[in-house]
Amino acid sequence: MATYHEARTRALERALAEDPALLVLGGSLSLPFNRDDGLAARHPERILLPPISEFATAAAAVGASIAGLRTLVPVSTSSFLFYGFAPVVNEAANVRYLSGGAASAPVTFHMMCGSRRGGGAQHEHTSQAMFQNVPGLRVIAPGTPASVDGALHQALTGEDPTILIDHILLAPFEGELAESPADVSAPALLRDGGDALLVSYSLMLQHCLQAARILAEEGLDVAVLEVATLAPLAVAELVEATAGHGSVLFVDESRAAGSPASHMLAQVVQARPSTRTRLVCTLDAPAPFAIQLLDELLPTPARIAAETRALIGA
Amino acid sequence: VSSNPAERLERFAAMLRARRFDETLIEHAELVVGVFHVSIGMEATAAALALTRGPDDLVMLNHRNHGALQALGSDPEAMFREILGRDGGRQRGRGGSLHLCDPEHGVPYTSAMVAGGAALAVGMALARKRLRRPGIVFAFFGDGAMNEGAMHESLNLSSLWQLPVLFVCESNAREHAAHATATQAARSLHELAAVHQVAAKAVDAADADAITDAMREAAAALRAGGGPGFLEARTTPWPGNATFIPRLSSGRLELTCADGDAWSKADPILRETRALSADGVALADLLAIDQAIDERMRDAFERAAAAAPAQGAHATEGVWG
Repeated sequence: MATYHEARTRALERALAEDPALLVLGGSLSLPFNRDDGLAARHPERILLPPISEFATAAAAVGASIAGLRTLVPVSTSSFLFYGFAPVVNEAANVRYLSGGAASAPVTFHMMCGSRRGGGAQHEHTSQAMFQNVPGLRVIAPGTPASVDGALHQALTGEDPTILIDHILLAPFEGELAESPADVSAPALLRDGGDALLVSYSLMLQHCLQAARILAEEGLDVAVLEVATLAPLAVAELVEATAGHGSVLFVDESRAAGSPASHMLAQVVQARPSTRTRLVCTLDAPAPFAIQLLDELLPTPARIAAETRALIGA
Repeated sequence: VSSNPAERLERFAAMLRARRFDETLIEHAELVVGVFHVSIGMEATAAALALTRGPDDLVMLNHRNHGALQALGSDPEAMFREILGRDGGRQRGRGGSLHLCDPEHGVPYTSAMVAGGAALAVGMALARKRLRRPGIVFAFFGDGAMNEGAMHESLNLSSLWQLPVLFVCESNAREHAAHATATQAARSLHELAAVHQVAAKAVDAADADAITDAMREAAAALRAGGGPGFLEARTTPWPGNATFIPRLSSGRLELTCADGDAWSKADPILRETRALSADGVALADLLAIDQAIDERMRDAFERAAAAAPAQGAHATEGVWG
């Protein structure tokens, strides 16, 4: 067993050991607010701290990747990358395609998305919905210790520009950790059950597991599927994994419009129109500061459980 | 350069490749879907790049990339095929004129975003430095890029980290009374680089010797371990760029030693023609070089135009690795 924070730190240490050229262009993956992972103290020579220049930093990371230097850019709060959006969505994502395959940009941007509670509207964006709409970016949003391990391995050894969607509130969650990193490219069934299937990723995956435990006490047997790789979405594997489930809920902290979950739902319904589905997302408003207002918007375990009961008529 | 006749003729040929490529394209502009940009008037800067670039150096170009690629020696037929959306383009129909690149000549990828490429070049230079690999990075961009905040972040970062990148601003800004350009409050573009402690100077880029010497000197400083450099390569706007799609309003280049109109006095190729002639090179020899290049461009274009269209069935390939 390991916590998510421990798994993330271990995966990063492994990546630094395996690739002596890997450069961390920014601070730590666990900041802000998480216990420091000690990376800066242990490997000062592997970390380059840029000035507050998000455009130049993001572009430099992309340019470095084109020229053979792999970088990991800890963006911290995802909205900080809005100043550096252009190099990511307009350059990194296009390098392989526009160069006819002559070049690629294997760079990783790590960012904290979703509500950390008390961050307010400018620090709690669900940016994954923005990035998943850009072909060429690999968007991975792990929700367990095993999947953050696999996600960092994929990002730091793969050939795609990768957006690692992380969540500050995931740090204490515990889970099993295998010797070698898990493959996160296809969905993974975390809990089986015949009454309904909850499909989710990142922190909402943990909320789904909690909702399944609540429903189990009521005698309902609910399965939970993790889809860590949001783009490119493994559509065939997702459709296969949802087969046999008449009721499927897609749970996402993003706002519904253009969200990863709404795309998954569309793919499943298109393949199997008889499936009863429900989309559970954050309501359409910026993240409010006050916690009682915030909890009106977010999918909580209680809300997910209620939506599940409603869908299956329990 | 003036003291080395062979090199001088090599530079002359590089300038002519750039010019004849663009003229040939403009004559068939109706075959191009969308907009394209030509490098007419900037050929001396392109040729200076070709003479200065070493085998380990990388080059980041921009939307106006034809001239530099031709000067560097990229295959004109492959470029025409890409621009015309034909099979056999290096970018397989995915890039077009805006994104022409050629890794064999040091151009792995071309961004068409204003200041976008220059910012990437800083990272390429970071890679060279961190990996302790030889080579420097040339970043080409226009005067408009200096209006972007991205340029200033990039100049600061490259200077702060002492990265081997040579910023080359191909300026075709019109003369302006008190400002560098109509959209720039600073008095000159190179002083904007200088405030970031980047070694910067302005050069008359219609003077092939001046821009070649300046680029070589700046590149040598970078190779010796110095931080970034900045050249403001000043040119006179070519009248044919006044329209959205360029037109040969001044006609095809005719090599002559005679003085012509105002534009011909600012034309780097005609200036060099007159200089070569004054130094004793026969005009007939220059015309022979020109004719061979002109024929090569026309042949390359004809073959490209006759090629099959790029295959749409492959449009979804090569997005992810």
